[in-house]
Amino acid sequence: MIIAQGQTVPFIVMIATFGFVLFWQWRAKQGKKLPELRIPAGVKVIPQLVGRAVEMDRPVHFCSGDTGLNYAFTTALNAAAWSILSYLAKTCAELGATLYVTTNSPDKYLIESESVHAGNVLAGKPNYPIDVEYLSPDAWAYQAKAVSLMKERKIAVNVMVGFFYIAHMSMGQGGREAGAIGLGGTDGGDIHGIIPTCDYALLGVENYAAGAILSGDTQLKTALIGQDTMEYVILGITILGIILASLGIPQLSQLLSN
Amino acid sequence: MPFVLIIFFAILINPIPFPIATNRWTTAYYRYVEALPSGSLVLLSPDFVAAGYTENGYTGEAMLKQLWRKGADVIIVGYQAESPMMADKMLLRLNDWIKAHNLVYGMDYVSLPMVTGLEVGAAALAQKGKDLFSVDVYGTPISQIPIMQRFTNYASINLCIGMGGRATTGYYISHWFIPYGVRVGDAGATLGLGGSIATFDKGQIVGAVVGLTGTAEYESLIGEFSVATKLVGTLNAAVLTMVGSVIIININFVLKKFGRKT
Amino acid sequence: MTAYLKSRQPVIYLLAFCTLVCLLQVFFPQVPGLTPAYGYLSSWMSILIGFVYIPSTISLIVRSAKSVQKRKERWYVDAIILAMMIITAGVYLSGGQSMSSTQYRWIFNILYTACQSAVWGIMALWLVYIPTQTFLFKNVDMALFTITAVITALGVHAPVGTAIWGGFPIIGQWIVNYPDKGVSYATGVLTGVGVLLTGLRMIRGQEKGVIA
Repeated sequence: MIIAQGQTVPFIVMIATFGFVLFWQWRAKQGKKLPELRIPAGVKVIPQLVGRAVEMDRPVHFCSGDTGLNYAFTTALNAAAWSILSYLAKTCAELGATLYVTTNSPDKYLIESESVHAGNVLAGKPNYPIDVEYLSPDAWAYQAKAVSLMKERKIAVNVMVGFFYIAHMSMGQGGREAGAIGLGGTDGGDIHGIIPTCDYALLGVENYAAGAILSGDTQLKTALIGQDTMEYVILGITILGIILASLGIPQLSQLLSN
Repeated sequence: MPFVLIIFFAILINPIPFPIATNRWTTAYYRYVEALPSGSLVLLSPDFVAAGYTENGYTGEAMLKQLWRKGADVIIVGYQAESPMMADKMLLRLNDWIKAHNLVYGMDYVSLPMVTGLEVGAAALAQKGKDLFSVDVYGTPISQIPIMQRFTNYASINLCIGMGGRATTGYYISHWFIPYGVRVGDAGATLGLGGSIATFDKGQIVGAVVGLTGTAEYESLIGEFSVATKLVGTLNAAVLTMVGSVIIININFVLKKFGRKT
Repeated sequence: MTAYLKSRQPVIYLLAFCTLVCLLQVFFPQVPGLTPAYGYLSSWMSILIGFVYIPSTISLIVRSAKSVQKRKERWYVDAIILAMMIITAGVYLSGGQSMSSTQYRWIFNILYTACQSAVWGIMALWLVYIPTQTFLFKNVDMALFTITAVITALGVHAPVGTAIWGGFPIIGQWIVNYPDKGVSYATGVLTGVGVLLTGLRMIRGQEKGVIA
C-alpha cells in the first residue's frame, strides 16, 4: 500500500481541500465573481473596542489561552490567535492605545512578542511599546494573576482568543468585573465558558478565518472560500451517512474508515 | 448565605458516603487490564501538576496496583517538567504496598526523566525506545536497568496510559495507536470527560478513568479503596454548593425581573 | 545578501520544507529518507522547545528584579519568586541534578505542592462564585444552558445526583453521549479543515502575525 494504513481518507480530504482552494484562486484570477464572505462580528468590532480603550484611557488586555503549544489543534488555534494579536497590536499602535499581553507558556512568550512587534511595524510605529508578560506555567496561578492584573489596571477591553483548558470562565468573568468589554474566541470544548462571559465571540472556524479576513488579501479570501466549500462537502457526506446508517447500509461508513 | 457555607463546611469535614455507580468507560479499562497477559510492558505518563494529584494522582496509584497485580511491568515516563516528581510522589505513597508485594525497582517498574518535545517526543519514544535515555531519574545508567532492556520501540509496549488531560493521550493516539496499533488508556481530568468519551466510543482508547469520580469507581472495581473514595464526599459538597447557589440566585433573579423582592 | 537574509523569505522556505517533510511522512512513511528526516527535524524541535524556556525565564527574572528594585506594589511577592527560583535551582544543581537529592524532593513535595494546592483551593471558591454570575436566566439560551449544566453536574460528575433523583444520571448521560459528543465531533471536523488551511497559509507566508 502506497499510503500509510488508515490515512487514505485524510489524504484525499487534504488534496480535495487544496484543490478547492486552487479552484477558487483560478476563478479569482479569471476575474469571475466570488461568493461574499460574512465578516464575524468579533472581527469587525476590534477598532471600536480599541477606540473605547483610548477614550477611557485604559489598557487593552490580550491572552491566547492557558495552554502551551501542546498538540496540533492547540498550535493552529494559537497561530490564528497570533494573527488577531498582530492586528490588535497594529490597531492599538495606530490609535494610541496601551496593549498588554499575558501568557502562561514560555513557548508562546517569544512568538507573542514578535506578533506585537509585527503589528507595530505594520502600523508604521516600530518603536511602540511591547508589553508581554510571562506569568506562570500553572493554569490556576496564571488565571489568578491575570484576573488580579485586569482589576488592578482597570482594563477597558479583554481579548481572549485561543485554547482554554480551565481559565475561560474565570478570566472572562474577571474582565467583566473589571469593567471591560470581552471578545472571546475558541474552537474547542471551552466555548461554554467564552459565550456567557464575553460580549463578542469567535466560534470555531471564525478564529481561523479572522486572520485571513483582517488582512484583506484576495488570495486569503479564496482560501477561505475553498475551506467553506470543503465544509459543505463534509456536511453533505455526513447527512448522507446518517441516512444510510439509519437504513442499515454501512458501506459508506466502512469506506470512510480507510 | 452563611447558612449555605455552614452546610458546605459541615459536609466537607464529614463527607456523607453515597453509592458509586461505575461508568462503561471505567469498566472497559478495568476489563482490558484484567485481560493483559503477565509480563506485559506498560507505559504510564503522569503528566499532571502537583495540585492535580487529587484528580489524577490517586488514579495513577490505583492503576499501578492493578497492573502490578496482573504481573505487568511499568515504565513511568512523562512529557511535562513535573512528571518525574509526580511519579516519585506516587511511588513514595505506594512504598508500603510495593514492599508488601515484593516488587523490585528496575525489574518490575522504573521511573524515567521527562521526554522533551511533547508530541514530537512521544513520536520519538515510539521509534527509539530506551535509546532516548542514558539514565533514569535517580541517575542509574539505563544499561543497568533490566526492565529497560525490553523496551526497544513501540513493538515492546502492550499499553500506553496518558494521564492528566487529553494532551498526552492525544499524543499516544496519534503516534502510537494510529500508525502502530499500540493500545492506549486514558486517565484524564473531569474537564476532558467529553473528549475521553468521544475517543472511547471511536475505539481509539481501551477505556478511561476520568477524574476523582472515575477513580472512586475504579477503586470499587479493583477492590482497593483509598483516598479517592473518601474525597468523593467533598466533591459532592462542592457540586451541591454550586448547584444550590445557582438555583437560589436564579430564583432571586427571576423574582426581581417580575418586580418582586425576596 | 544581508537584505535577503533579513527578509522573511528564508524563514518561509524553511517552514515550508519542514512542514512538507512532516506532512508527507504521515502519509508515505515508507519513502526512503523521509522517516529519518522527520526524526532529525523532531530532534531539532525538542532543542528549540528547550531553548525557548531561557528567554521567558530571563524575562520573569528581569521583571521581578525591577519590581523589587523600584518597590512597586506587592514587590515582596516578586522578591519571594526570585528567592525561590534561585534556591530551587541551586539545590537541584548542587544535589547532583537528579531526583536523589533529598532537599530538592523536600522543596517540591512539601513547599511547592502545598502552595500549588493552596492556589487551586482558593481559586475553587472563585469558581463556585462564577456560575452564580454567569448562569442566569437572562434569555432562553442561557436558561437552557443553566439547566443543562446543573443536570450534567449532578448526573455525571457527582454521585450525589443519583441519590437525589434517579433521573439525573440518565438525562446527564444522554446529554454527554448525544448532544455533547455530536457537537464535539462536528467542531472537530470543521476545525480540522480550518487547521489545514491555516497550515497552508503559514507555509505560503500569508500569516503575517506569525512571522514578523
